[in-house]
Amino acid sequence: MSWHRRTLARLPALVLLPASAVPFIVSVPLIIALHARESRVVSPPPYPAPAVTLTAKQRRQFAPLPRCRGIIPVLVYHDVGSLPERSATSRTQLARELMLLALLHYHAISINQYDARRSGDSVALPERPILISFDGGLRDSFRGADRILSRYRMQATMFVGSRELGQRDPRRYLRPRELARMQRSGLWQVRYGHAAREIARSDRFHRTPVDAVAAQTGGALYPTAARTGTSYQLRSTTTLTQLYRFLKFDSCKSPSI
Amino acid sequence: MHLRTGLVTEAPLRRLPARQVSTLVDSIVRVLSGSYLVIVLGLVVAYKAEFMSALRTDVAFGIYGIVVSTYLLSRFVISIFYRQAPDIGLEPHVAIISPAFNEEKIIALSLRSLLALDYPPEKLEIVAVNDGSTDNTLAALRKVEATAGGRVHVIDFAQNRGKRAAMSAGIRATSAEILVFVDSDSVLEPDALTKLVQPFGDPRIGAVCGHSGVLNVGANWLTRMQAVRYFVAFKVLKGAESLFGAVTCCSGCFSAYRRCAVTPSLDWWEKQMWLGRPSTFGDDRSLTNCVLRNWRVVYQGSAVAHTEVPDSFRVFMRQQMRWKRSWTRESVMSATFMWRKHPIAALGTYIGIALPLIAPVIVVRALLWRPLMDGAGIPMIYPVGVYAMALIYSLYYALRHPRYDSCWIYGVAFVGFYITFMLWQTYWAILTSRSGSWGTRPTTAGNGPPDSGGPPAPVAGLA
Repeated sequence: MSWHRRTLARLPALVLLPASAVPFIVSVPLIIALHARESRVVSPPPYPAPAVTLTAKQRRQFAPLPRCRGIIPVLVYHDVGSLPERSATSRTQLARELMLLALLHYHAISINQYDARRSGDSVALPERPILISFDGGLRDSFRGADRILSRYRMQATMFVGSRELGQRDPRRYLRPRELARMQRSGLWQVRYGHAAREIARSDRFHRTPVDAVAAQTGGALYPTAARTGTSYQLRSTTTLTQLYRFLKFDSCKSPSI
Repeated sequence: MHLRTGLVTEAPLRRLPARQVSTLVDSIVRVLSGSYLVIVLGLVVAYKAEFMSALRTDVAFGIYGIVVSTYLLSRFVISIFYRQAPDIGLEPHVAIISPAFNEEKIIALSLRSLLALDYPPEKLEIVAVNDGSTDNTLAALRKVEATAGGRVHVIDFAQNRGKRAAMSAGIRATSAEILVFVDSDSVLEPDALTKLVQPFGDPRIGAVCGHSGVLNVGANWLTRMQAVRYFVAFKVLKGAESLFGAVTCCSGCFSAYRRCAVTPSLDWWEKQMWLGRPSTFGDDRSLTNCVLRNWRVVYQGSAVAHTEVPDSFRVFMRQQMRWKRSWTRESVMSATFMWRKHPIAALGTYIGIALPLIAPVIVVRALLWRPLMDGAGIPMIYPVGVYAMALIYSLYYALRHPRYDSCWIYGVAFVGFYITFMLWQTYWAILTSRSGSWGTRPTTAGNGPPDSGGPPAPVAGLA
């Protein structure tokens, strides 16, 4: 048998090699499409940061605050952007608040730095530290806040209820994979627990000024106090002026850590 | 000498497949197969790397996926470094022991193939044991004995006493330094024995496992699937184990043992009990364990035998059930001492024991539970993953086999077959591991369809 005939006789066996790739060619694009669809449905991208500005009058009103060592204000948010929920802060409001913090030269610190400071460890902190946190592990909080944090070079801590993790509706709550991705981004830290509850329960220092602020602001509590549901609601309706007063109050207290 | 020359043209040697030589087309296609294999490997690794975060969402499944992929791929990688022992001109005194039970059709052919081996006749004796056969096996043995010039010694049991008793009698009947066991349905290549004994130049080596190919590869789809399975199991799994001197099963088809490594355990091995009953099969895996405990056990890929494999579904499944039962028993045995071996070999063995136990649960979860109970939709990723691993397995055959043919695709089919039929035998085999039933033969009977522990569950992890 000639060389050509022998090769021809082996053709079916040769064809098997490319043919074996057919299942990949068919299924891999399908799997990629499924992943992409799931990502779009379950893991939609963050919202763009809304454009906000402060008026000249506001800039004058919010004058730089004195630097006080030992005081770390804590802002606890719940939902972002998913109005009309009572506990939700609008994206615009969040952007304005972070802009104010940036204007006043506050630097957001990580929950690890905060913990270290609370436990009395020596830890390097910026001149005006602040802890920004979000309770509930909500997808909308991430979507609403991520780009705003990025714009103002702030970081935040996402508190996630560990018991509910992985058992809740993935369309509403962040999944572990996404939390891990957030952590890797450098903008977020993830802590399993409940921010307001944990901080208020163990931190005598924070409860005192908050209560005092509540008295000064006519009940507009900042949510480091105990009743978180009420706090969230108040938090979502505070004005920039109230936030400024809170920060000003904190900065004037004597250090207790 | 005249015997060897005169027997060359006889029937059994005609059955020996010709050594395959690569042509230019083979070389080109093998390069393509290798490239394709690398691409598939890359895809698998990239996919696993991308979805490492699955460890957080689905811890058990994620860990299993990573362990099984790492285990399988590591076998391939480790086997790359395997080197067989070079020919150092070693020619020790060898005795080939061939037990036979009702093998009248094939035993004479098998013995004549042994007589035709390219090995000094004065250093080779052949001991054939008739284990109480009820057919004309004894007559066939006597006929070969009469024409073998005193090189074949026949032992006759009046009653069937079992394969281990026959093998033990063969061992005790000879004083040879090296004991070689060949299944009665296996045919050796002429230089197989010469190559098999070369590793014994290392005094630490107690046993050597030869390579077994499938003799009746062209019979049907089942034998072709087994051909790929045997090839990969020997070249990859035994090659990887051999690198650490820790081959866990010297196949009964063709293996050699140093006499002084076997004799201390001979009585125990012959009368081995498992859960209160005599162990009637899995003799090769058991004997390997006896030796492996204190010696190195290696694989010699150039020493090639060809063996008949089951060509019917029923016989094949019964053989696999026996293998799994003996695997259950001997895994327990080997687990007690493998930790003393090289850490990589020990880890590989323990993972190799664990994976087949977990695999059925994983398959049920991936293909039934999640789609039906969790509403995960049609399972896509798992079957594609299994297909990718099956393709790696099969392309390796295409890459390493000298002659390219369509046989490699049966490796893919075998993985599907394994998941569909064989995977589920594991639990039943464990539950019935006390059973001494061969399924097709008297309980004490010895040979027939080769009862080697054979290729050690090579695709267990693929699930």
